[in-house]
Amino acid sequence: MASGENPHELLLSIYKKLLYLYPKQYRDDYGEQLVLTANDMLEDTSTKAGRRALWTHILFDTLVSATKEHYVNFDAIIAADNQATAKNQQSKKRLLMFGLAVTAVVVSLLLLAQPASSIPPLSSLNTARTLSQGTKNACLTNDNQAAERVHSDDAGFTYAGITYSNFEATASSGIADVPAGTNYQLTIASYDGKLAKGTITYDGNYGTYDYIIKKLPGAGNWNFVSMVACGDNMWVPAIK
Amino acid sequence: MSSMKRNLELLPQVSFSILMALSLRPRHGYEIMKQAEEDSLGKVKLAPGTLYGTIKLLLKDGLIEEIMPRSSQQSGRRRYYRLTKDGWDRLNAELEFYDNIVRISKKRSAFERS
Repeated sequence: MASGENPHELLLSIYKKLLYLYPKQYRDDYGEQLVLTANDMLEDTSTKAGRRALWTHILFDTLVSATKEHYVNFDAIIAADNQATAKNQQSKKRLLMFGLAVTAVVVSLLLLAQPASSIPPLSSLNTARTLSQGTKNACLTNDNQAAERVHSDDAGFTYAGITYSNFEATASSGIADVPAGTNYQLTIASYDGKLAKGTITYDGNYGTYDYIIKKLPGAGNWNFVSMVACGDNMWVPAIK
Repeated sequence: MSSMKRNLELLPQVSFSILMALSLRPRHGYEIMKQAEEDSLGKVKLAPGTLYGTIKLLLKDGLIEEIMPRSSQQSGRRRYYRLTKDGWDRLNAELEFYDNIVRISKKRSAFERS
């Protein structure tokens, strides 16, 4: 590897080599589009950790989809051969098992090599409550400018004729053990373009929390990263 | 014991997501990918291999077709796709199915609460 090489170009050149895993016809038909799309994905990912996660995703996807394309190809060849023999059936099974074995080995290695610094999104209020145990935090107050910046970066979507904000959709349905449709009030205390912080209070005794919510790249979607109980309910019992 | 077979074969998730993404306007591969992620609130994240494998199947089934880009700005080497009439019919049938499910579940929730 030459020093000073753009890592983006290096990943793409590795990806072009990986395309040889696909059947030739598929490569001829879609190879260029696959590379263009992978390039777009890499360009849209700004952090090193993000590119690492993306590359893992693309690698796994390539192994699975290449195995599938070979299987479909082989199936078509056998279908065209009216004298499908037991030997052909056996070869097909061997090919599929080989592909699955390679995929299983690679996935295992990638899972073992997962960087400790990656933070999974928060998905459960019970987890938040457990993490809050023993803490003592003041609830964050609203900052109008931060709130305006969040709304300006946010993207909306329309479903069944009603327009929602992605930020609101995440707040109302992004936490698994809060029933959908539970009312909430929230403040936005700060926003740096990637992380927004504030306080969220759910109705129905689900509590009040200082939250951190992360904006995902691309379409303005969000994931809760953390919640810590604040104010009067600094630690509350788990939801039954 | 006899086996039951569903009359309606629903589209797989990825195929449905691609048809939904193309329901707004013709798109190239990466745009389809981003729209599918947006439509699903981040739950459907496609990678190139799965995306184009599914596009290949949808082309074969006649649900989508490839078009020429409208302007030189859109060209380069990207391929744009759009729904065919069969694609629209299929998408509408799926949406009607899901709409019905939502309607039934709302009625059942109201029934349980009363």
